[in-house]
Order: sequence, then structure tokens, then C-alpha cells
Amino acid sequence: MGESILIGGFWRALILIFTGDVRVYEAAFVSLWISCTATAIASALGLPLGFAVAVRRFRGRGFVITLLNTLLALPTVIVGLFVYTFIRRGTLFGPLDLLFSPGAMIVGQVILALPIAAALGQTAISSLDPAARETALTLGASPGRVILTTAWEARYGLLAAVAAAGGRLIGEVGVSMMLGGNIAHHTRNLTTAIALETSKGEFAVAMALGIILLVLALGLNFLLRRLQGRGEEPA
Amino acid sequence: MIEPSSNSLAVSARNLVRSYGGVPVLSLNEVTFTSERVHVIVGPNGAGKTTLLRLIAGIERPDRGELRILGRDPWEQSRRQALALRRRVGFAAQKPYLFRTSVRRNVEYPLRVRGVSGSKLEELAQASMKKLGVAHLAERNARTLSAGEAQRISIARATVTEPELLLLDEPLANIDPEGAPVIEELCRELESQGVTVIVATHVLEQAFRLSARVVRLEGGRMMPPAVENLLEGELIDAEEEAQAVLALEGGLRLDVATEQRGRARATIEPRDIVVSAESFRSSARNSLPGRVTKLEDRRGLVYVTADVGVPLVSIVTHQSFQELGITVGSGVVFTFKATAVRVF
Repeated sequence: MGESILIGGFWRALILIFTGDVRVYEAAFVSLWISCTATAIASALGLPLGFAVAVRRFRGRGFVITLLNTLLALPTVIVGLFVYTFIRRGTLFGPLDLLFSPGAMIVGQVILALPIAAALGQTAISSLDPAARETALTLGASPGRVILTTAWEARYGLLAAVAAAGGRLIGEVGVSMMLGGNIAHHTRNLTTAIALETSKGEFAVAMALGIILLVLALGLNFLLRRLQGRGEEPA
Repeated sequence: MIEPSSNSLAVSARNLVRSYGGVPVLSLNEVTFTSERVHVIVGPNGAGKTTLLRLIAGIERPDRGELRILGRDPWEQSRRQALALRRRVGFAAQKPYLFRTSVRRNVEYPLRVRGVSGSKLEELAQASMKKLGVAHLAERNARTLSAGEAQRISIARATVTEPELLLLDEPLANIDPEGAPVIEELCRELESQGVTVIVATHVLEQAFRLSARVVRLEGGRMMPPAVENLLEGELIDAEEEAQAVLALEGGLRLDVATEQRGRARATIEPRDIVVSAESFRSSARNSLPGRVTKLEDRRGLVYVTADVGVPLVSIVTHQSFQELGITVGSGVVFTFKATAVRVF
């Protein structure tokens, strides 16, 4: 039974992909743009936060690091619930009319990915040889340039942090379901579509969507790996 | 308060203390390095040489005391001033960190951060790499090089901006034998251009090959001069090939057992100098009459300083000292073998 679903799903996936099935392409597109946008925002906020925690010495630093590491395992439904309570009608952000919109999904996913980008970014910078920063300093770099150079030297670790954040988002379902509402042609992405098809008993379609999701995740990681290996020009 | 004292001092420090985890690793009463000269800090590993250079480079902050770099306290400057001061100092670390990029980009880095671009950037970087003999490595990934190559690149990178003060931490530590003269020549050239160079090394021979201004650091403290009887002169031919005459300023000539020729520094271990009231027949090639100028009792030994054309120190036991019956002003003869003169 299991094998037949898998094989059937694989063939179905190929058919859906090559026949240009609108539902599949729409869901894949929603998954991609929402997760990529959220990953970009979470990285833009989280990596500098991780950088600051790595290089600054302040009271409560240990607590911040522990908190970030704890938040790595943040359940998606908790984030969904948390954001939901703030954006539903009659609440603080209710007037923004975000609920069941791509915007709400992005907000939720940013909250989910931010600790990942920050915690792994902090690890990447902390594990870099301190001589990198000192060398930039003694060679006459301005404080801003020292930060850029340090980030450049830790680029493999930082890109790994971005990849981990992106990987977590493209595959998450809790936030998308609770905040996006799985509305067809609007907020339905690959994971919520899989949940829907499974509940309908359409295992093969669900499997096909799952395979497409995996291929997407694989493609994104290949892209990041290429970026990691590319270019030797410093920041 | 140490005065900036115009331009004569590149670095001055007073009551300088640096501790790690409450343990002082450097504790200096007063140290000065004059401008436009090569200075060498010599001392064993763990003596505090690197810490001192890191303090001068502005990477570390002293716990106590005064430190002035090129007339300024680096920690009492505005951000902009501190950056301007750092840009006047070059530093090549003992274990150099090379950026994950090409050798060329590494050497260009200090120029780029100063806004240098275009043909001037290429020209200066190329000249610096050429001087250190690493131009052929320009396009190589800097992280794939040997320790010696990395050290040379690090020095090329530190000197590319022509700093006023250059700090070299163990520059010859990983350098192959052919590379050492390149570094020595660079130091001489920089000195002639008015650059102050401070070199840290644990090898005494290297120290004196680089400069006569050698300070000794041990256990984080500055010690008396590294050696007694430091002489500087010209090594010229003697009758035998394996021997030379060290011609000193003032006309004094010493027989020396070396094949080296030209400008050189030499020392004579005070214990190798025999003190006598009159000259005597022996195999020793150098027998120099002079007058005692100073007598010092140090830990049961007597340090006899005599002017034999240059001031030289010898060490004798109390018993010998009493038997000789010498006082300040007495005539003495200092005798030592040609092999007792250690040439650098």
C-alpha cells in the first residue's frame, strides 16, 4: 500500500508538473514567495541580532543565547496562535485586516525563522577565529567595514543559518494554516494543500505535492550551496 | 604624564599593566621606542612580546598605565581619531590571519578600506607583493599557502600602506632560510625611509641582525640590555680567510673568527674576557690595554668595566678581584680569543 502511494505519487507528481497543473503551480508559487520573503526578512533582522550577541559582552547575554536556542524548537501552532490573537478582529492589529492573508503568513513565518537566523548566525560568528576581526581592525578598517569583513569571513556559517531558516519555513504547516486559512488561489501553499488533499483521501495528489515540496527545498539548498562556493572577493 | 615630546618617540609607555584573568602578563615601568629606527624586543615564548605589540597595535587595552602611540593615547581618541591613528600603524601577527580570498585581494585590503582604487591600488599592491617575493602567488587562494608564504603575505599587506610605525611579531618564525634576508633588508629599507619598526623575536641572533636597539622582555618585565659588550663595526679581511678584523669606530680593531664581511654587530661574553694587570703570552688574539672605569658587585661577582678604546665589561670572582688589587682608574689588560667575539 505504502509503496503504491509512493510510486503513484511520483508518477502523479510528474504528470502534474509537466501538464502545468494550475493548483500545483499556484501552491508552489505561494510557498516560494511567502517563505522566501519571510526568510529574507528574518535573516535581515536575525543575522545582525546574532552578530551583536556574538561580539558584544553585556549583562544577560547567556540568557539571550539560551532563549534563542530554546526558540529554535518553537512549535509552529504556538506562533500561529500568538499572531492570531493579535491580528483577529477587535484586537490591536485587527484594523490592518491581516488575518487569512499572505501578510499574516509572512509575519508568522518571520517570528518562526528569526530565532533560527539569530541563533545559528551567532554560532557562525562566535566560531570564527577572533583574528579575522582583529586583522581587519589593524589593517585600518572602519567599524562598519570590520563588521562586513567579519560577516564575509563567516559567510559559510551565515548562509547555513539562512538555509536552515528557509528550510524550516518552506516545510511548515501550522502558521500557514492558522494565519493563512488555506484559501485557494490566495493563501494555499504546498503544505496546506498536502494537508487538505490528505484529509480528502487524495493520497497520491498529496504525495505528488510532497515530492514537489522536497524538490523545491532541494533546489533552494543547491542555490545556497552555489552561493557559498562562489566568489572570492571580500566584502 | 609622558609628554608627546615632538616626533622623537614613536611609542612610550609608563607603568603599563596588562592582565589576563587577574594574572599580569605584562608589567612595564617605562619603555620608549624612538622614531625612525628598527627596535627589537627579544624574549622567550610567553615573555609578553605579543601582548606588548597588541597593545601598541590597539587590539588590546591596557588595564593600567599610560601608553602613547605616535604621540597619542589610542584609548582617549574619538572614533574618527582612533581610526586615523590605527591607519598610521601596520601590524603583522605571528600567526597571520589571511582573508578567505586571493592573495592579491588580501594585500589590496588595507588600500581598499582607505578608499584607494584603480591603477594606484594595483600598482601599490603589486609593488608590495614583489618586495616580499610573493607576486607569483597573487591569484592563489590565500588559505591554501604554507606558513612561510602566509607570513610574507601578511607583511606585504601590513606594509602596503607605508605605515609610520610597523609592528612585526616573529616575522622570521615560519620563513624559510632564503626568506630571512628579504625581511632583514625590508627592515633596513624602511628604517632608511623614516619608518619606525618594532620587531618581536625569541632568537637573539635574529635580533642583532635586525638592530642594535634590542630590549629584553622576560616574564612580562623589561630586563637589563639583552647582552653586554655589544659592538658595531665593519668586518674586513684578515691574513687568514677564516678570520676577519672587526674595525670599530675610533680605530679599535679586533680579531674575529668569521667568514662574514661588511657591516656587522658583535658581542663578547663578559665571562670570556680575562682581566690581568699586564699583558701575557697566550693563544688569545685580542689583548687590549685600558683603564678601569667602573666596578660593580653583583651577586658575589665583580663586573669590571674598562675603557679599552670602547667600554667593555668583564666578570671576575671576588678572589681574583682581590688578588689583582684593581681600583677605578687602574691600568688593566683585557684578553680574549677571536672565537669569543660572537658576530651577528
